[in-house]
Amino acid sequence: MKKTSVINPGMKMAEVVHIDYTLLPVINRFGISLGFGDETIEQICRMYHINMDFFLEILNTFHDPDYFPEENLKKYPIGLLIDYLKKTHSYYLEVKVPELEKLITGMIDDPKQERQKHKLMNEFFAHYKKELTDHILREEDKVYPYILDLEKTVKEKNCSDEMKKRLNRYSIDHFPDEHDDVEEKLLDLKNIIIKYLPPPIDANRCNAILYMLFELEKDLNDHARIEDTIMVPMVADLEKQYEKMIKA
Amino acid sequence: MSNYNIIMAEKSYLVRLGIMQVLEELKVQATISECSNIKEVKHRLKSMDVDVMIMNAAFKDISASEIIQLKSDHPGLKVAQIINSEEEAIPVVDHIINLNEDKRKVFQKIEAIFKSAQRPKHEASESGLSKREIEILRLVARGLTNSEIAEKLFISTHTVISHRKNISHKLGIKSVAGLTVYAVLNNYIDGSSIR
Repeated sequence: MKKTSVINPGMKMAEVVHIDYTLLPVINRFGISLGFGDETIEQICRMYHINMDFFLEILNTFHDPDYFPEENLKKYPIGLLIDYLKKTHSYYLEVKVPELEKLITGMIDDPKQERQKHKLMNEFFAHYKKELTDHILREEDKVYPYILDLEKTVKEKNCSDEMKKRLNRYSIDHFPDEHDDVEEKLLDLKNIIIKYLPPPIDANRCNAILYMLFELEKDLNDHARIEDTIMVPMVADLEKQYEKMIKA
Repeated sequence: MSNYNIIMAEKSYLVRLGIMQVLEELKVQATISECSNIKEVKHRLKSMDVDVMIMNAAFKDISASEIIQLKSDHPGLKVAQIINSEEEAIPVVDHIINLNEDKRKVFQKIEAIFKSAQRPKHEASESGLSKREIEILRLVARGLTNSEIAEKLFISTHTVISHRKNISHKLGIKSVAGLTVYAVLNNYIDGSSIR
């Protein structure tokens, strides 16, 4: 069994990276750049004006799949979480996907000779990219605005008819299980490269693609877990408060 | 002894540690992945062949119908449930371990789980796709729906679906787009015939 330590405020930031380097992109998403020196998490959060409870919650959830954030819930506004999720999305769309695209386009050594293989892989990746993009846009256009509206309403204890209409259109119960398709294609892509792509191929490049796919897969899973274990319960709680408010 | 893939759906750290200890003493070699909810379980099942799932009675949102579904989607999967008391037992699981049982019984039961989980060693994936499966793969890759395929081959949609499940399981590719890539790479269809 993997021994996992809980990341705490007194730990040095540099130490955290040594413990789990896959946290690097997560740390970057908070706007923290390398060159931590010996600063602790607490000091760094103060320096960057980051809500530490929230930061630790995200780091720990990423770091340890068994970490359950229940107890710390609600110490921060849900807007922070939405901001973070959006930053993650743009990391996927603006950093990871273009990187992969570039590698995949150049995967076949001699595109003229191997036109078909080249075309197939490019097309498959284009499919994947479209699905991922659609999925992300759906969340950003539909789910997140709903959550922010809901929080605002509950906080201000005031709900116009217009807002009521908007809030009635969605409920977090419907938060779809649709990560599935996107996940499926990622697994397929891995298997096609690992098992079925006939030579000649550029081995180093294929390895680089695979490393990146494994990394992206982990990141996407952790992202989904943050939505499931932090966002969904928070929103469900807001919905309950809203129901109460409407009835009163 | 072969290496088993195990899903451990048990929230209690102490119980997990205990099971690992027993496995070690029984010299069962296993790769264990821990899951904390049903979604994770499904994800794991999708990405690898799992032999045994050990789950706690208190495991979130799992029901008898859910287990039946998992087992039909993943033939060969054995489900063992850990319970505190008899009334927690879900009748459709393959094995039940009661936390109050003594060492001898627990060992016996865990050994029995792994005896029952011995899978026929990948005969399927070694011999590759059957003729019928290749026929179906070709049609899937050309973009035909399940019912179109059923009609063309004079079989039921249900049969088509079960063939497709087997194909995906053997190849490790599930999406239509992925199957198409596979079919073209292996010259089962001509790349220009994709719609």
